Amino acid sequence: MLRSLKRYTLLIIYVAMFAVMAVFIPQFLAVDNVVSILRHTSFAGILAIALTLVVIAGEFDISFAAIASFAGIATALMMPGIPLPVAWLIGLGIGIGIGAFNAFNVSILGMPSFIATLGTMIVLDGISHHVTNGAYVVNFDWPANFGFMGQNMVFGILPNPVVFLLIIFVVFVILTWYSGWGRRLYAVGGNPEASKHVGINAIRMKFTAFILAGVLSAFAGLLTASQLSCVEPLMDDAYQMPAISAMFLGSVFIKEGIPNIWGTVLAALLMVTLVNGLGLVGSSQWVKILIQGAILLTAVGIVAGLKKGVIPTLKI
Amino acid sequence: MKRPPFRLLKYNLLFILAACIVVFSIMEPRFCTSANMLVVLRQAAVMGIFAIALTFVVVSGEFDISFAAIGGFVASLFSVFLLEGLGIHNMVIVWTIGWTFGIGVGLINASLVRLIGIPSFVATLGMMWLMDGASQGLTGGGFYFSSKWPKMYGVLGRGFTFGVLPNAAVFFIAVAIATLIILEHTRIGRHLHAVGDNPEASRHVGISISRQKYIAFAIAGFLAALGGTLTASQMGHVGPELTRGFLMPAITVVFLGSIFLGRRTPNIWGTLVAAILLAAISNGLTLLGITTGLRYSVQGALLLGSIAVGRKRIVAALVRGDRV
Repeated sequence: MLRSLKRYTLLIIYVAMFAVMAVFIPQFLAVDNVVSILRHTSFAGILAIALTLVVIAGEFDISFAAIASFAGIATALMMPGIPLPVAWLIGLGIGIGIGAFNAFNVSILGMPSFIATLGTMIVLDGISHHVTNGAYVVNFDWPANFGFMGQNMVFGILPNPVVFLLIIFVVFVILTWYSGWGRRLYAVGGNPEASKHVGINAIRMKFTAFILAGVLSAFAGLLTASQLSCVEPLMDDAYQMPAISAMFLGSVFIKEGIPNIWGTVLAALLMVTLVNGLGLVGSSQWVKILIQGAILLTAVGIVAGLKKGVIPTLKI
Repeated sequence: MKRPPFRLLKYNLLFILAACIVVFSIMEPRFCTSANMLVVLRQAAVMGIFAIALTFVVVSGEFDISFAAIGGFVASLFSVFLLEGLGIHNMVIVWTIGWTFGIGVGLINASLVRLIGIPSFVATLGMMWLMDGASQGLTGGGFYFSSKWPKMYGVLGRGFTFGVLPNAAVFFIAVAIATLIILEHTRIGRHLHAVGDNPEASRHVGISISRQKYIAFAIAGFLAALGGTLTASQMGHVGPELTRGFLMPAITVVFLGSIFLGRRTPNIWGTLVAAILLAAISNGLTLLGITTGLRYSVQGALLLGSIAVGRKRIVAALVRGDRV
């Protein structure tokens, strides 16, 4: 019984939190605010899905936000003079390349994934910072359509990024949970020995996972740049905490420690809503950081404590 | 384990350091001035202390990403709360309280890992967020400076012994010698190594894995507090960003140092030399006009490179997904 209760806990918590905020915070239910929450959730959610894929495969990727920023910046700087679709393809290609680099370090060279992706993150952040000199990059030579992907509203109200999140969400829920590939991915993360004996090529699976993560991250970065019509130096660092929290939270509450896509996205929605609500009541930055840390530790601690150390697919 | 072709190759980092000094001095004469060496030493001191903190934890088979945040928090704690809020002006008391706090946080980290069973990097990631948030809350987000601080505040970071040796360097050397002795020449140190290298065997021999990890995290917390104290003393103010800039360099230093002496696991000597090396490289690149961003990338490349070179033992030491 505990198991099935757990599955809906996150949803119940979210509904309760939403209700409390709707009642006690005046501007919470305003259309602008709800749209803002949805938009932020889409960026955090896509990034969190990227991370989830890698964690399912038994590794970790802390470079996803850096990939997003880097891809956004690189594309933005390349854009004058290149047709728009090509620019987007190049940006996504950058994601593929960096994902492959991570996969190479982890699978072929055998580096521990946390440190390897930490190294990648440092390199990328350094280049991003160097290129933008810490300043914003705005360029009026950009094709007018660049903003389309990020700013357009479907039905006049739903921002494009949210639609993209929904599409990516559905695609990856099906891919990870209802396909053979997904089962193999969980196998690689859950029981590397057994999956090797069964003939699953762990190296190929991990390459795919890291590359998909890279592409998704790059896509999120490009979307952000498109939405703001300018490029902040390290724009996606703001989403790093919610995305990581969302991945852990989703795995803990929905599947008892096993990372999963819908848990991740629901948790992303929860984290973004929480931060939004805190902001509306005037909490400073530090409260948000503190609370996210407390939530992370509590969530992971509950599962770990209950099972005394068995968080099976989080092999770092 | 393969013997390197030339015995002297295990002193690789020292050669690289010497080469860097030569190259930088040629390319930029300002590098070799005593004023500049002072800067390098001061940088190396802080980076080194933080890196030694992490070294203890990694040697015992875990990871701690919160050390920089702990240092920052302790600095904010004693600067804002003790000195300002409570008006305690005896720096020795203030420091003692702060450093005890560091030990306490380290023990909490260890509890999260051993008692509750959270994988160490997740636990310390959450702790890092807690510490960062708390620091920001204490200092109000910006640079926090008070004229009410006693003169002794800056003595660690900016003072001189005998008028010549920077206090920071003396402090660093003292810490280095102490930790070197502890980790390499005492029973506790050997047990820490054992727990990290081979938990199964350690348990069979009767070493308490939990106790060793508590010790490692506690020492790391203490050293992190020292590092935070030193930085605050050098800078003359505290703030959320105070120690964040040392997180990645310290991690790089630990892994860079792991290739020293052919050990292929993080070790104190390696950490020491790597700290000086990284400080020298960073300083030299700055003098040559390389931007902050590119210098950061160079660190990342060094991190990746040192892991690629020394990976076998590090993989064994770090990837401990199973509870023992």
